Amino acid sequence: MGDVILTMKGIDKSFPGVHALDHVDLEVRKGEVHALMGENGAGKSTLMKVLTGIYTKDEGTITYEGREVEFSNPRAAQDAGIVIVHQELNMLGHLTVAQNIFIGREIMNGKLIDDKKMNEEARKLFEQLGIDIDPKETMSRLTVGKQQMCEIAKAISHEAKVIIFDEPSAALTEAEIEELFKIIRDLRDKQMGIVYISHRMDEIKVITDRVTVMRDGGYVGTLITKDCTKDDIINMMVGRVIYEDPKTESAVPKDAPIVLKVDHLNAGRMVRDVSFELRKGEILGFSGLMGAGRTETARALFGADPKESGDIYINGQKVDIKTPQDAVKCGIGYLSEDRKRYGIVVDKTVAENSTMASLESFMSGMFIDKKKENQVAQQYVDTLKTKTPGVDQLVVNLSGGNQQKVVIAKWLVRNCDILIFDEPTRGIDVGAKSEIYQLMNELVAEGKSIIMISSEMTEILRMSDRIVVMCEGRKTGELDIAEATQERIMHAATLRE
Amino acid sequence: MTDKKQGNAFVNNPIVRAIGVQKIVVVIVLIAMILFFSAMSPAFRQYSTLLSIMDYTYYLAFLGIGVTFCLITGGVDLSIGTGMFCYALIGGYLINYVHTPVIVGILATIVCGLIAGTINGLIVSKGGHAPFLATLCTMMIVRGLGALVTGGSSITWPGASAPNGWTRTLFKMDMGGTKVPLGFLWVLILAVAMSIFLNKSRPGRYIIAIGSNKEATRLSGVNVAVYQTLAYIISGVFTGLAALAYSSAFQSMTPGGGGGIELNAIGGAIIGGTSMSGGAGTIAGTILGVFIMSVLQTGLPLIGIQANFQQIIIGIVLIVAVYIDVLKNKKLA
Amino acid sequence: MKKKVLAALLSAAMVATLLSGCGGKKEESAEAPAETEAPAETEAPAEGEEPAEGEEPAADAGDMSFEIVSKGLQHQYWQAVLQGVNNKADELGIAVNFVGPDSESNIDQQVQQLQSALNATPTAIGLAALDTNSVMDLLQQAKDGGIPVVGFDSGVPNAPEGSVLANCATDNYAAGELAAEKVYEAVKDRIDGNVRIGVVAQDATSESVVNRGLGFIDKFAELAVADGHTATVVGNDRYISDSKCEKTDGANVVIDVRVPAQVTSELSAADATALMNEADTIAIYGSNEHSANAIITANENLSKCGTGEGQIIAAGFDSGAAQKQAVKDGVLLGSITQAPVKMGEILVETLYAAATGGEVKDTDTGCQWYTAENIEDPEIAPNLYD
Repeated sequence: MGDVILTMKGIDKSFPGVHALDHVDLEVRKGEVHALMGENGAGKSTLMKVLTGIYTKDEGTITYEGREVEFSNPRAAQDAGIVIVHQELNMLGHLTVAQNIFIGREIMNGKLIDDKKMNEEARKLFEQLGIDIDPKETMSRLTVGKQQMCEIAKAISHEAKVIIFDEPSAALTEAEIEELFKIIRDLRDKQMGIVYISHRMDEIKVITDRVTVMRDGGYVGTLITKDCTKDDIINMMVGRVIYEDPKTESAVPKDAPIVLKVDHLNAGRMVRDVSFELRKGEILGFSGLMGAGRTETARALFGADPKESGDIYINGQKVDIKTPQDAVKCGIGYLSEDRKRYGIVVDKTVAENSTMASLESFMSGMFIDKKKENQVAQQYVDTLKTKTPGVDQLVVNLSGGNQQKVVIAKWLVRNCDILIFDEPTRGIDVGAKSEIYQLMNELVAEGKSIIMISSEMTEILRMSDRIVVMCEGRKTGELDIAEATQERIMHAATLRE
Repeated sequence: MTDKKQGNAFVNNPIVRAIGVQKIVVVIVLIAMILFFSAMSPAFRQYSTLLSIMDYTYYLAFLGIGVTFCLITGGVDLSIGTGMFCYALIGGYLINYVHTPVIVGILATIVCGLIAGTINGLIVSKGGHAPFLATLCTMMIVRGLGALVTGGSSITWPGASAPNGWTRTLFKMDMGGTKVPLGFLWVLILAVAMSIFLNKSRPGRYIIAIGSNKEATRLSGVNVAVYQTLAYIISGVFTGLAALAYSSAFQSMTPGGGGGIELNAIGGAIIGGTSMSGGAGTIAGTILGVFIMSVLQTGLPLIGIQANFQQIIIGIVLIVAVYIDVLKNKKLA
Repeated sequence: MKKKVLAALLSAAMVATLLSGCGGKKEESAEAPAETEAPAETEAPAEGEEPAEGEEPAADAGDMSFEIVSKGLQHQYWQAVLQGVNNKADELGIAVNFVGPDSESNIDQQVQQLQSALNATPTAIGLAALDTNSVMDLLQQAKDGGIPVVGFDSGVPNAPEGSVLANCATDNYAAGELAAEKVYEAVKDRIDGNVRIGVVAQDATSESVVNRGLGFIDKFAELAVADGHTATVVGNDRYISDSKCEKTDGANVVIDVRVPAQVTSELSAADATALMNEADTIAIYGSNEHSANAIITANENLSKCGTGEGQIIAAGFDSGAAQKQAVKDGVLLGSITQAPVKMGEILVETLYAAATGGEVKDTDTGCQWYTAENIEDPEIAPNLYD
């Protein structure tokens, strides 16, 4: 670790009605990876937005390379050498890789853009990082992981001195994360200061040198990573100890009835001849790398995307699911990986969202029975322990974990017996995560069955009774939890044709 | 991880990829249409038909080039049809009733487009209005404005043989008894220039970037409002050029008219592969798409299709084009 | 069934129009104001009026004032009407105030102007209403105040009984007939085997446009049948059903009416192009300025119109820079013009008659056929506007 390059001291920021940052400190040194941790809503992103000039601070000082600074916009911060790699991918899908990297500061040849030179520069950059990406490829044709690498390359090309990674691993596979870590270590060795924001405890231990923890907009403390345990960090974040070890054996009896059978399902090139069974009271984990076809399988099963061939049996009865409506009628509920786009209507209330899939049972004549709606919604708020001031609260005001609970409530109100959880804990903080896990366990104990798609190996191993592994649209493995290990899953997940 | 490679040998052929599958399909459809009309109507096989097709192509091509920029930003400009009429009415009014030199009328026509485009752009980029709504409102404004300026009467631009009629020879020149569709040269030159502008200049690049991901473009330090406005200004100026081409080919226009022409131009752009959801589109594709529209407009009456059926057929063609766009976007997602 | 009733009603309306046209003060002016007769026609009323004026007590005229509310002032057509009004008013020594709204969509402005006209308590009012409903109250006021109202141009359509004494307007149907006579004369020797006569119509909704079309269609068919041919109408349904020409299969004279889906030049030009591209087309008629311009535009690409061997005889309606030029260049054989100058004159005469308690009747203000030869004649030139 070298000298201090960036110091934020006593940063205070209020929005109408919210004290978002309460005198927060952060110190980054050259050649260190500094983790910034905290639950969702703790203020990590706000702090970084203050740093890069998206927000103006109310109080406090930022010292960068020995001088006090205040950037007026992200561009000014970039020019000074402070760059953010955003959580949501900021790619321009229609442009090429090189065009993306140099957007906003194209290499010019007179009045015209010199695409050839830009490709060359991008190639050099990738060589330097040891990544194999064609600069001329259209961005949207790359995998999520490679797009992330491009974002990093873009950040480095700014001659950055401080790079902020905002949950970079959220959409990456294990292998891609390894590659990412290699790059981060390289950058650290080049004496850059790196801020690493993540929810994944394992990663923090592996990659970071120091950890700063925030809670509820306030500064909790800074630790040397190698001197502390995961539990220490979690305690600082949530104030209580929660950690669960992998499940060792399935709780589902061997003769439990098969509630769902999928037989030779085909839908496009991402779902090829997929067959599996789901038993009553079972959590069936779907593992695989990004783009293995797990979500596509779920969507085809749910009728959201058209099927080409294959049969679906529910409780032994063959059913014809053409649309999501059909699926819901069959008692299947789907919790999308992208809540904001498919799962909830953010500007509606908790009650309205809860009853959305089963409105017909809340009708009294032509009108919605508001009283009944609120009553039922409140019931699920209570059982799921959703943190909301009331059922009339707009969903947009809830945290990610509580939004997820509202989606679950929606399908429970509908009385779905088969629930598909697609990345149920993505973007949800540690505390809420364990509540979701607990909830899933309660659901299967009640006799519901769950298909859980997850990219987090620990989540798969901790929750599943049985694991289906997919690769390139095909089912490449099925493991009972008793015999499942990370290695065996990874082996199946990389079984290419 | 493999990249999302898809399709067959044809689609992955480097030449096919460079040109674009859609454009190749459009060219094939265009040739098929020309063969069909030629077989159905002897009149279609005459040289004069080429002149008619060109008359329709000029103004649609200008409108199409302009609106392609708006479409690429993920917006749309619905004011171009009525706008074209309004600006031509104002320009023609100056020439006919104020007796200004023709060049003043021409400049006024283009400046009107420039002003309307700037207003559209500012309402969309600074005002944050949905482009569809903002330009729908300006469409109503220019429709009323055209009628107001001319006192409700239609305007006829100077004829080819009139002393002021030299503008018309800019588009159709009489060379020893043969009429030469000179206007196509201007369409080509402007198409090439705007194509380079779109793909090789910074503003062009940012217009594509805005349509691809506006927020990401903003975070890259690009002044999004400026380039979004610019797209509408380009659309406005090209609408002014279209007004000149229209008055050159068809001479007269009625106040309040022109509604619906924007759909022919937008349809041409979409047929040529420009996406309604932004980020993708080429000028060459738009020109090809516009040819589909102008060949339809020339060919359908010649094979004896009644006016109202012509509208229905063109409407169906547009639905198909938009549907293909929807399918493409689904594939991309 | 419905269609037939409608057709019957419309034909009844047309007959009525015809009759009223015939019932005009000068029989010959309604039927055939051919170019040779035109001078006589324009001069006749003037001559006829002069002695009458001498007989009347001259003092009356000096005390009179007329208010005339037109549909606009900008367009040259109205300027020509104004010229006619001024001619006659000067002659009679009457003060006339001629106004009009800024545009034909400014209904409110016209109502205001009519109100001001009433407030001025003139001897009589001339009115070309933009919208009958909005002037209804004012017409009643005029009636109550004993101010006679005379309509002109399109008049006051569907005005309540007794509120408007008479109308001075072009009989569009008769004007269409005149065009048919001229075109038939030019092509009658060429009707050999199957031929097609094209009609480019702007729309099938406006009464004046439809009547100009129907007048042409009916007269042309009538003349052809009289010469031993058979005739039929094809194309737009309204024209087919409203025409007096019986639908005949296998007729050798086909009158082909095309109406665009929307009134824009490019669509009408496409119609004209298609008609002129039919191999058997020998003549084409555009029933207003818009349609005549469409023919001229189409001809720029096709170069088929003219009077030469194998060329298409083209005729227009109304005037305008492009059309006048086309007539001079021989692209159009000729064109029909309304007589706005004369309309103005007849309007003042009718107002005078109404003011003096004389007999007032609906009057056809006539129309003229102009060609390259007579386009500069003093009887024609003032009626041609750009």
